[in-house]
Amino acid sequence: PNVKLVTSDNEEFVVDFRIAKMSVTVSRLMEAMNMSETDDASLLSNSIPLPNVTKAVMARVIEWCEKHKNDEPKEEKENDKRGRTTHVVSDWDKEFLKNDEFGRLCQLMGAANYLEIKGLFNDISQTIANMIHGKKSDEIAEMFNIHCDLTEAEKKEIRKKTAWCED
Amino acid sequence: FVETWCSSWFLFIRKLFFPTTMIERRLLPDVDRDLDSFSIIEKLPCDLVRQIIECTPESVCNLRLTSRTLRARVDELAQSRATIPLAKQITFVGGLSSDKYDKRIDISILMLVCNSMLFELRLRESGFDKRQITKHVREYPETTCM
Repeated sequence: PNVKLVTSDNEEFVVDFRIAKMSVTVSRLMEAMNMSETDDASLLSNSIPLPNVTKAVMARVIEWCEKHKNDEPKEEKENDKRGRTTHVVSDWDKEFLKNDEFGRLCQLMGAANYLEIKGLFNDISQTIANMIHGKKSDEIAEMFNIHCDLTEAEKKEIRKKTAWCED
Repeated sequence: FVETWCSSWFLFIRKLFFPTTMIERRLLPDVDRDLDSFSIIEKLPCDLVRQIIECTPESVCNLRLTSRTLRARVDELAQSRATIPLAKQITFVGGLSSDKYDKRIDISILMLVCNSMLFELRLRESGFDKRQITKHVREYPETTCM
């Protein structure tokens, strides 16, 4: 059975029921609209409005869901050599996300958050965190095009206080 | 005595782990900038920035130096109740002496090194005196803890 999803720009996506169920938000909406897998009439006559997701972003979300629709639920584990609990981004996901510019990545993260697709949300946040990890403040500012509005005196004060954290 | 003792240490622990009850949270950074001058990461909703920072807690100090907005986001996270679990183990020693001038209690908090910066930031933002706190880093077979 298929489910119709309608984006903010009025684009209709017809997706497999299993894919629709990967989103907690869509799943809840389907329940609220009494749409069930066994009731084709309800699936055909209703569509799920997704006013916070655009066509371009929805296409990427569906592409990710297609790949992961048969995945077993993942367990977070301490896998970092420093004991940090990290979400492991698979090679396919790294490849999937690597060509997205940062702005698109943030849109995708916003959509994953709105749609409550935990795996995609964790993949993106870990990918962005990996971009930040180990970089100095000026490198982070340059990478994300951040205009630093802190004065030198403020930076000095922050560094002075931060020294405690960096002992 | 027991009641007073419990009450004061309850307040101490609450301040340590739930600092927002004691300190007014600043939801918006003190900035006076045109909206267009904000970068994409600064414009992200707080929840999303928070999720990113929680994936790299050792970067909090560097993030605080990038802009006022991100400094405010990091500080907000440091003072928030619901962060990633920071402490792995808390041990209390002392405090039961009959000598009324010797009521000192040593508190040892074990945590991963990667979480220590966020924890220290929380202590500092909560007004703890760093002279009362010492940090030890020790190697564990598989992980590094302090």
